[in-house]
Amino acid sequence: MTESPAQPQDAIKNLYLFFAQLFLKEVDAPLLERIRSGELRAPLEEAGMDLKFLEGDAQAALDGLAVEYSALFVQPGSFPPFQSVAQGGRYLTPDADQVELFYQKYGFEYRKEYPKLFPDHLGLELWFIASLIEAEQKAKAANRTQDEGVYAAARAEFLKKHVAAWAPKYFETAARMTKHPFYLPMIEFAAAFIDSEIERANV
Amino acid sequence: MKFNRRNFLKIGAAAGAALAATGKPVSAMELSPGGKSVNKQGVERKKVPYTCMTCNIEDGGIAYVENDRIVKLEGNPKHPGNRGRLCAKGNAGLLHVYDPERVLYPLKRVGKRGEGKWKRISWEEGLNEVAGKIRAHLKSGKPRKEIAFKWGRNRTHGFIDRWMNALGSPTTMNHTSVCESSKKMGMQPTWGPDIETPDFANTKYIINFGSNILEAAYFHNPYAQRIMDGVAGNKAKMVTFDVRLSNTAAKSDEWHPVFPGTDGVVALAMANVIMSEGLYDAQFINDWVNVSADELKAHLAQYTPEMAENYSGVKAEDIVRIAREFATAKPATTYTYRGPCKHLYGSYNERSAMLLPIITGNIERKGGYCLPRGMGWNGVSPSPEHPHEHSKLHQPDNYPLAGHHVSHHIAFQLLKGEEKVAIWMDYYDNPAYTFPSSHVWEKVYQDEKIIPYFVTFSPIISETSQYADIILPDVSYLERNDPENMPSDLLPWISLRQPVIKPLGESMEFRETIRQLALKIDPDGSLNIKKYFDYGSSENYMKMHFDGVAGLKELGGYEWLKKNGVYPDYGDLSPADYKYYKGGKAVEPEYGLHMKEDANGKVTVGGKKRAGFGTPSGKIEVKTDFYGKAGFNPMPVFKAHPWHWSGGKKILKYGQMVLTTFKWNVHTQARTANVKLLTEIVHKNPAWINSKTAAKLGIKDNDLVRITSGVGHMVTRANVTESIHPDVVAVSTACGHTAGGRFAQAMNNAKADAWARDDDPDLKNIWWNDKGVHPNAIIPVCTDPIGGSQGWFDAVVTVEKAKSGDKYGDVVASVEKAVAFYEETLTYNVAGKNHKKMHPELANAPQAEPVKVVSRGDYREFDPVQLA
Repeated sequence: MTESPAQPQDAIKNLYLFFAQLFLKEVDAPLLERIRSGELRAPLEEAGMDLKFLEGDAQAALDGLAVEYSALFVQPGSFPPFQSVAQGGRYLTPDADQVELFYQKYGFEYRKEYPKLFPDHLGLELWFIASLIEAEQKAKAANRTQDEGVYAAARAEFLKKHVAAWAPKYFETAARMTKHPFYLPMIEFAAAFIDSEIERANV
Repeated sequence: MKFNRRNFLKIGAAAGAALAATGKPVSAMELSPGGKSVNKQGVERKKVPYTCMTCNIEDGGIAYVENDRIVKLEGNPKHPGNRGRLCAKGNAGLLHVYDPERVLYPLKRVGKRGEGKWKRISWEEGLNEVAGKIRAHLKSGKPRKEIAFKWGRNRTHGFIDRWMNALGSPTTMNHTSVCESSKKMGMQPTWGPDIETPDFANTKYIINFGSNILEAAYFHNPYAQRIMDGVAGNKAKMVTFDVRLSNTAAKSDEWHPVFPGTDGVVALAMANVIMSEGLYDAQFINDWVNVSADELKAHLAQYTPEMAENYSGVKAEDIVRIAREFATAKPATTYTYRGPCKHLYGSYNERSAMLLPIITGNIERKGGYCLPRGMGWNGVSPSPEHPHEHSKLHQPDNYPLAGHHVSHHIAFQLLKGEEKVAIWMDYYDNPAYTFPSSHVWEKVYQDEKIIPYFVTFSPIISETSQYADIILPDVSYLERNDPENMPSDLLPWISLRQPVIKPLGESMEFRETIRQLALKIDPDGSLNIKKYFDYGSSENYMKMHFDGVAGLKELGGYEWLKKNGVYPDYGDLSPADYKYYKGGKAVEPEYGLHMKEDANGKVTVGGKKRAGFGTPSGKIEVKTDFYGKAGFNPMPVFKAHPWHWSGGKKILKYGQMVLTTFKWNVHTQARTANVKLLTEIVHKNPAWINSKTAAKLGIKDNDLVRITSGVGHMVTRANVTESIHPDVVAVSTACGHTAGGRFAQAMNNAKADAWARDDDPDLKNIWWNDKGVHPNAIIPVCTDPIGGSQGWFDAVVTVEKAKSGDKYGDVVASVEKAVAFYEETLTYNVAGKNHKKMHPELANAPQAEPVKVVSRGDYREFDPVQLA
């Protein structure tokens, strides 16, 4: 079967969304099911991930994932995935404003209730890129060539100015913080994906 | 794992299907129709007044806010306390808000207590769980007093009492016994209020007993300014008695290193000199003191300067000279803080020090020792009554005068099963770090049989909150509401603490958390709780406090206060003399409050009834029946500590010293430890040892030393210095944290493997490896049987060079030995075997009447009438 041009871009967009979800929130029951017995299991195992530890009692698996999520990203002593923290050592440095201004410049606004976060959360930055891809796709579908180019350029610029400035190093550190059989490969996977995106965007 | 584009695309495609199958997730990102107008030229900078709370001074501040982010804090020039200046802690305050180690979401413990495993939960889940536990307890018919609430810093002004009273539990527990409660219990029976406001700026002479007022005591920022006004502008002389050359002692004209706990006998000897040489104010004593000059002379005759020299080490000739200088300087004032009062009989010491301004007539005069000024606000109605049930945790037996409670006994009481606890709530509190024998608290918190359920409202994971079962995170002080008032100046004021930004993350203001809990516990009002929490919002609660305040109301009430931060407006602050000017005239404080005419006054002076003092007689009660009736000496007396003295002789053996602690100008006891700008300045706390003492013990500067108390030992480094009494070893607080964050724990790049955050740019800035050593675990409980205070400066320790195998930072403390000290200290209370031994002068006094112990509310609740 031949891939239509939209399929890789959809996959890339969905991968951004998938990682955004993983960093923004704990794995919930529906997502767990897609990972351990749904459509995600086969490609993840094919990529080398061992998912056997997620089998058995779903609640126990969710609790285990939630504890590790908290240890990595939420509780004091973790490394909260925010550009301000990574680059400035505290929440809400002017970097966060710059990120928010970038969102606004392209007509986007982040939902502050998802959960209550600051604009420079890793998950939001990834979600923003996914949103730019979607906007680019819509512009293309509507033959708005100029808009298509604007969104593509914005994506490259955002990757360069923000994501590339801190995320690769963050992934490296976060990977050292955990031996968890789910989060360690996922962080490594996200790192490899973002590296390839940065490379492809030639930024 | 294999990461290649093929896998990315496969997983991406599967992820798309998975995301579609799990239901479209709520989008984190929305496209705003038409986009947003982006202002790249900068954003509006707002000025929002607030009241500081980095410590308990309550200075006024202005927050500069851009895009809902605090960019700078400054002092509020309209605030008469701090007059536009913040201290180092206040300036660094915004780092409390943006600390990445702050708790921003409710967390629930997973695994064992203290294991450090948490999971994030929703507020709904957290509130339901806590409310469910409380409701179930209330419905169970079990004693309500098993619901316990312990606070460390309570600036809610009655809100915690509202909460606990509504729940029907008397088990509200404070922290004041590790603070200055024996100062309060020395002062309150003597003249009414629990604090003084010396007029430093206009004085000519200051005697400072054991207060590091330029750095850390009440009200260090306002008073440091006024002391400088007095010393530099008014040529006042300042004499400091302190075991250590603090920065205050160093800035004084004279420093007298006094043996710990003997400030009181120095003061009594000075009073003796003043009385016997006729340097007293006969008219004032006659009009305003409840004992005559002759009675005072007779009582004080026993306290000769030579006797005081024997105990204190201060030369008799200096005592005489300073007494004469003080009595003739006019106006003159004393000031005390923890130095005199944090001892076995600290309340007597405080009363002794108070004698000096009293007998010299320096009370309520310009440049003298003045009553605190205050302003109030309205209470919020309806208000629940204090429960009738009694809790020994709130008020233990046999401490009838400890009106501010004996909170440092609580862990021991729990260990011994004196009371049961079902639910323990903790607020702004860290006893596992800040209390004496802190390891005993740690043991209690770890034991689920003693504390079956532990909820904290802490915004950080501290040495204490790490043991919680659930964390419902409070906000920082820059995100909350409170009414405020402190007597930090002779111009009274009220101020508002208000959120200068929206709370970060999902942290929630405590007042709002409690409101939501109350409504869940009692949704239909049938438990008689709901009605006390139907105020809608924290902001409404503030409106109820402020809108009706006379004077403020006419200006616009709460809304006016939101804009200005502090009431009243005393005018413009002059940079020339730091006074407020209105209509070209300097605003001066009012003096002589006791002399105001008052038809209901108890004292007649000059043929008119006067307002007088807040005592039963309306006079200053140098002789107090409160003490007498409770079995203590009604007069100011000195009691030598039996750990240090026997028959007037010092009993410290070779290598033995008295361990004292102290605070820094950049730190509170515990809460500032993770504030990087402050911890960079002070992060280690070597033991101060006098150079002559050190030489005798073969200890050199920076040597590793072992300090051993009756509870355990610690290993630290020696700071060999001339700046400390030869019988004293001093170790500061605020260092040696085992929790609280990477700055508190000095988790720098060298420890990156343990911390694993080596790309955090701030870790590169932690250039120090030494986080210091915390002494509290080895400090035994030693309680003033009058005021209930912990004798922080009484512990006898042996100091020696470190032994083989000792490592820097070792702290080894025994729970059993700490309990033995607790048992011993109980023998000094009114029912204990040592009480009479320590009071031979009362052998022929009438038997003390049994005193009924009453559980009371928790905020400045000392009510002499209840003890009468």
